[in-house]
Amino acid sequence: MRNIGELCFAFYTPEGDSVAVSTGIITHVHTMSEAIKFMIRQGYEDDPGISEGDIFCNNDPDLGNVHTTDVHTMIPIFWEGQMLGWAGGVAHQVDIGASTPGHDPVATANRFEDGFYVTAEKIGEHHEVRKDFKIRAQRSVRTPLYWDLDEKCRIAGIYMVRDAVYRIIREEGLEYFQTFMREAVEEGRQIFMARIRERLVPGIYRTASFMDAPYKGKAWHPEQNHDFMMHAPMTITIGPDGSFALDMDGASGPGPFPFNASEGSMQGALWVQITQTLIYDGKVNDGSYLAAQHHFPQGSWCNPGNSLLAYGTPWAYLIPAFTGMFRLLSRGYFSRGYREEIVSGYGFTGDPTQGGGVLANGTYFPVSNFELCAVGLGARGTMDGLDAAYAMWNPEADMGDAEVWETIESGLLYLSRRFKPDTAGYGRFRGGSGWESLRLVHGVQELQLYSWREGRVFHGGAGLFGGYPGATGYRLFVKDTKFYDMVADRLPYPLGDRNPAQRELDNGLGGTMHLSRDGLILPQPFQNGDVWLSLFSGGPGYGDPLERPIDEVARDVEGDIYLPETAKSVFGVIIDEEPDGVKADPVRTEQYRAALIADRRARSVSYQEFWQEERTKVSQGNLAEPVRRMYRESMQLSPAWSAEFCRFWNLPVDFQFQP
Amino acid sequence: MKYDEKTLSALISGQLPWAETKEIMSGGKDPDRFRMVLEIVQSMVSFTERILLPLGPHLYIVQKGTDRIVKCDCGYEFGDYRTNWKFMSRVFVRNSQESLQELYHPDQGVDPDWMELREFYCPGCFHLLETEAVPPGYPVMFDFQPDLETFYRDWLQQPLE
Amino acid sequence: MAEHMPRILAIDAGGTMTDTFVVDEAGMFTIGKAQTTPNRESDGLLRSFDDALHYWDMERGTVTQHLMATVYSGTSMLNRLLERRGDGPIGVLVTAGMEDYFRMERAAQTYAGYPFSDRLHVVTHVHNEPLVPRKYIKGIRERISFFGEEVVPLYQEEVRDAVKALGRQGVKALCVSFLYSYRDPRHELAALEIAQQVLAEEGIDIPVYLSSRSNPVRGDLARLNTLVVEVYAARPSRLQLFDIRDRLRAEGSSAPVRVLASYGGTVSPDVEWLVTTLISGPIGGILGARRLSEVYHFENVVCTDVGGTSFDVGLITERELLTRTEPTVARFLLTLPTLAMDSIGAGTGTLVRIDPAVRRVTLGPDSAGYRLGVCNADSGITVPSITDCDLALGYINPEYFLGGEVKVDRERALAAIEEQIAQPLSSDPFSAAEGVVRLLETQMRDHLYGMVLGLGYAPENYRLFGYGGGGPLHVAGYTEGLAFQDILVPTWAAAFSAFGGACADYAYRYDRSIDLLITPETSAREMVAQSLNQAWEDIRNRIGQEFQRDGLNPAEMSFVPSVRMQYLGMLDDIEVRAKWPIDAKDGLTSLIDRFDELFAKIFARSARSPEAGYFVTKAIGVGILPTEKPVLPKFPLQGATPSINAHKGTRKLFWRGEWHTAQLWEMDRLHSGNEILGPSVIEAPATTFLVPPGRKAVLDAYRVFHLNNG
Ligand SMILES: [Zn+2]
Repeated sequence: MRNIGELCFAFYTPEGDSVAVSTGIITHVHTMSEAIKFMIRQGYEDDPGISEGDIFCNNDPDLGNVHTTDVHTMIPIFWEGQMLGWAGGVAHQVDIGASTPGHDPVATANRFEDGFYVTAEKIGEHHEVRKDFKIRAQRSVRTPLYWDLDEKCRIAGIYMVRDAVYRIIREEGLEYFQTFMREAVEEGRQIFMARIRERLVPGIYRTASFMDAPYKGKAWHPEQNHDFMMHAPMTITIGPDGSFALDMDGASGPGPFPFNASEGSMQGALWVQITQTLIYDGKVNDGSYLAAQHHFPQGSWCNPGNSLLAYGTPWAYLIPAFTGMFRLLSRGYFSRGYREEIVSGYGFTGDPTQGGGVLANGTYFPVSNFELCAVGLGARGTMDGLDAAYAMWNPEADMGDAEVWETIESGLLYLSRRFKPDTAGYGRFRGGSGWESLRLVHGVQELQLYSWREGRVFHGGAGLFGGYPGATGYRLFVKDTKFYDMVADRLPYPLGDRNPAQRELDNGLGGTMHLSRDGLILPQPFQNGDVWLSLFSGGPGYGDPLERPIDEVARDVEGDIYLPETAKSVFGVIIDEEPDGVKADPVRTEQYRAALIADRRARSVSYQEFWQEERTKVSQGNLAEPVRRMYRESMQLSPAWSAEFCRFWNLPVDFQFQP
Repeated sequence: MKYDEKTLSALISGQLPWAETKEIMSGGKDPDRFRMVLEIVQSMVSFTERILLPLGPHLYIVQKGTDRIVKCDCGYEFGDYRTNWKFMSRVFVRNSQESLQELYHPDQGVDPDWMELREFYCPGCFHLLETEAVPPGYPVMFDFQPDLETFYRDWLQQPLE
Repeated sequence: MAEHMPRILAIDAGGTMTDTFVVDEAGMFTIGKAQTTPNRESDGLLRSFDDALHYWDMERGTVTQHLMATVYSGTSMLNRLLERRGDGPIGVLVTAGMEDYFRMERAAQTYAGYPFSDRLHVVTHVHNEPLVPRKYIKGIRERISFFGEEVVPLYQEEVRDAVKALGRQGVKALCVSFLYSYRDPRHELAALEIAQQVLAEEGIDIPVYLSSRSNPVRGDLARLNTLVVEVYAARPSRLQLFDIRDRLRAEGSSAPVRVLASYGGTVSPDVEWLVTTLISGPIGGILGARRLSEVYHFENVVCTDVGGTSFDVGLITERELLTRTEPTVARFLLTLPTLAMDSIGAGTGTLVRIDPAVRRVTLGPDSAGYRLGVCNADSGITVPSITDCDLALGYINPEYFLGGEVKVDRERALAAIEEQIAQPLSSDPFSAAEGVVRLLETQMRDHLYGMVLGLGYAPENYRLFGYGGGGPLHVAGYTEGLAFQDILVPTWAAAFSAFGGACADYAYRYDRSIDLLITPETSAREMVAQSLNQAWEDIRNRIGQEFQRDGLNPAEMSFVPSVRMQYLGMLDDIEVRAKWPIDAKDGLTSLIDRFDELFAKIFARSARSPEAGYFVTKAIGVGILPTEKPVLPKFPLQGATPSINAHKGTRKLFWRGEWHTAQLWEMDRLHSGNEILGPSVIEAPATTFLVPPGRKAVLDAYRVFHLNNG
């Protein structure tokens, strides 16, 4: 069964460890585990009771969920009066009744704007969801039809899981089943450790990622009206026994925005990354998770432990944070010789165009586009990254047909979906390319749209081994356009923003262009004829771009992966566009590459000189306000990180940044 | 499971056809890989010191006398592998609109107030060895500190000396 | 040898071998095999036909004139696509801005056809080499909305320029696919007119194909893919099919040559859209099983086909075959109605390895395919396959593989198993090989069990057919512990697909997206009924024209209308039979009732969601003309004890950790009524049927084995 939200089902031990998992967005498998453990800790057995036929629901991020739009339904499974475990199902809602329409809100500042909350609640008995709950839920969201469908699908799915359990017990016996449950988890743990020893090298791997949250001048709340910056340091320690420990000590603080990530969401992300890299072929269950130790520091953005915060869009921080993990594992693969496993990170699955509108005929339509699930994968260790086809949270990316999206988002028409030049991270192997889509607002009475992506920072640190990060996003839309006039005159209306240096959108469309390097935009109204650009990220590169074979650069230019001027400035390749195609000039390229190397020699400084210069900025506090804020938060939350920072820059141990 | 030297050389240089690469990706791992790749990269470098661990496309940890140092395939030596090799590199920091614009259109690059792009070159060959995209004032990252002793002794069960 | 009068020639042209299945008036059949000849398929086909006839001591020259039906199914089109040997360059016009379809592939094609482990393992994901390079794809400004509104008129000058440019680039055909053209084809029709004009001006004679004509269904990538595959891979096959027809005609045959289509009917090679015949291999088997089910009056049947690389399972439930409309073929998403088969990459050629890190057996995903395995010294295969294990365990006769035509070496297989599997597992080669075969059969069992359960049924509700090259050998294993009502193995299991093709109707099918919501409102219901009736009428007329072109009388055709529908908001639609014409009251109500019933059966009852209304996604029509099909001869039953001349000796075989002495039997010499007790191996040139200890195989009057508990 499929419906508009992605579904995922799993079976858990009575203690809440997952044993077996269906396909779907498996990030969520572990998150349900946390909710079950919460109910056990809270003594649900006595009050409200856990009995055969009970149905529980949770979407509280503070109890393991990712964000409120992911709704979990769970049932306890009994056999002859004995509790065997739990079956759980998750579906992602197109709308959860947050203060603005959509699934990844940006304007919210606290829990009370996150929308409909169900906190580990018993919502049904005797295998039926209570009517009062159904009424409350459907009246709490903008799309009651989808709520109802999703709930039905979740329940149908978890009962299938239950029946499968019953069948195994009938065929193989209860004892077998219980042994299997224990052994499956233990086996999962063993396989994970064996994989680590097989593929990595023991030691300490470190990286850090960042993200911008530029709310200043945009915020709807005074406390939100600042520029924020996220810091996600990541250390992975591979122990002598094949143990794996991921530590994010030094992470910056949470804030009055929806990007806070609960510990459960971080655990879920760790889980999904493991299944894409190390345990893709073994048993996918909590065994591997149990073998992967992790530390998401209490009180930081990645484990705030504060139920009053907004958690609507943890993806905005969580996605950048985890690109580091790919890079770190890749260093191990490289040293070990398994270069085919290397991935330099991934593009940012950001810029989810969202909102909602009313068609001319009065029908409400949600805008909840998931085409963002197809960004560029980082360059691989033996070849380029995958173009426009990767999402860190779902390895089975599907951007969906334009004709299918418009069936739902009927007031937002596609004017294009095409590769976006210069988005792929530069390198010997390039990152997977990003792309863009241009939408026309048409046939609506009203519509509001918003979105988010990184704009002021590269989201996931850099590339690998000298590869560069993929391009950042920006925000561009044009209101009050002459689109219909252009069409009436058969003038070539713009199809995107292929080359920002020569903007098609500047050419005859008229109107008012909103252009900002900030990807973040809060909800605002649009009307017919307006055009909205979405930008989907490219992946980071691998290796020195001056070592990229010149024929490959020529092919990149021919395929509009890079503009010819970029081929020259970044790759040092001189391109001639001839009638029968694009050609690279080997002689001039060799000369130009030599000149670029000479530039490097001339412009670079010794490490000591660089260190002095940076240190001066730090010691004088000569840094932008969001950067100072970020450092302050990290230093306050982690004395260890603070001490290391001071030691590195040779500063007094009590050094602090001023607000 | 075992792949021949020709296949692995092609894999390393990025020349292996997709069908074969895919087979290697989807298949189980060959336990002998580390040794074979070490032999291949050893034959590719012009220096004679024994490679202990490849760190990147140009960098290796090698045994030089009694020292274990990081060495570039051009011959430049970065010193003890337990110290960050970046401390011996040449650095170029893109922290201005001008230098960032050489690589990225302003809309697609970063705000230099928020973030700078650091490039670490080999002082010998000036290959770009590593980049860092970090806010100004961020400590230089020590990307990987391998536990060589444990790796050789316990994992490979081979002498490191 | 009795006199035979061949009536039906059924051909299954695989990548390496072409099978023919020749049936006479009485239903007696003979099977021929010959090497496939891709450059001129008719050569291999005629040789295979000769091979079949030689078992009857007949010559082609004297019998071809008696043929009443010739049915072709084959993989040449699919192979052309897989191996990128198609026609081109092809020019493509799409809605402006959408020129990157083949490079983006909706992301979903980058892991299409992968096993679950590779789907998770993202580093393996990769884009297909585009069938049409980017420079041959031109965007045209125009837009039709979901509601059929013309938001942007067709920019005619852009069409002119694009066609002119493509013509000068030397394209051999033009494909046009605009957004929502299935809803309103006016822009595609206008583009066609302009293109024809421009091509005439340029003096270029190439065909122009429209997506709204071929396949007016929603889903822009799959619709375009299907259109392009028609030109790229299907069109070149047309000439091959004409050649086959011409050569059979020259030999006196007046029987039409029909080609098996993925939806289970057969069509003329003159059919407007030959791409419907792209997937036919596994389809034939299901049709064969359906034919047998009719004979036996079975309601529910599981069809299992064990090939060299895959295990294909199809279900017949309450005599109905499920049809899917968006299959993935050769890693392309297509809009082709296709009989539902679910495959896993597990077959007799599947390669076996040990994962050194965790010391577990891994199967595949790669396969030795027709090269068999290490046992085939000429194959170049060094990793043991399932066939190697079967050979080691004594299941297969090394002297009689493909009737002794292929030499296989059991010692080679054993040595490879010993070194690569047994030693790493600290086991002996026989226990190791048996463990491998068990694992394969467990995967197969889980796969088919899951499919049966997925429909809300249990094995107790079904009978099972096992066929394909490896079906008879493994069917006992992969059905173990599942309480099917009966397990049937036809003696012609190895040519079962060709047999199934011969059983197919002469039928054309067309689908059209209509996307209409049925609400309780009278006006909405009227509109749905009217649209459906109109769509069915159009489809019926179109099929009528197809039959007319084939020289047949459309008046004799029976027309089967149906719809695909879903609950509003869900994504999975299912196919429901309808009555034509349909009225807005009782007609629609009974359609809805049938849908509710079917949905509850296929999915879960609790997921039914009628509150928001029913969404009719497609109108479908199938036109059928009766045709000559094989009759199944019935043989008199003889005693349970087989005749002594059927007995070939004994062989040791390893089963469940023990050595057994198996009796060997020659399949052709067994008679209806004979009962073979396990442990036994029943051998035929192309098939080996394993009857394990404790089981019994009974040959019935139709020469089909029933595998029972002894
Ligand atoms: Zn160097």
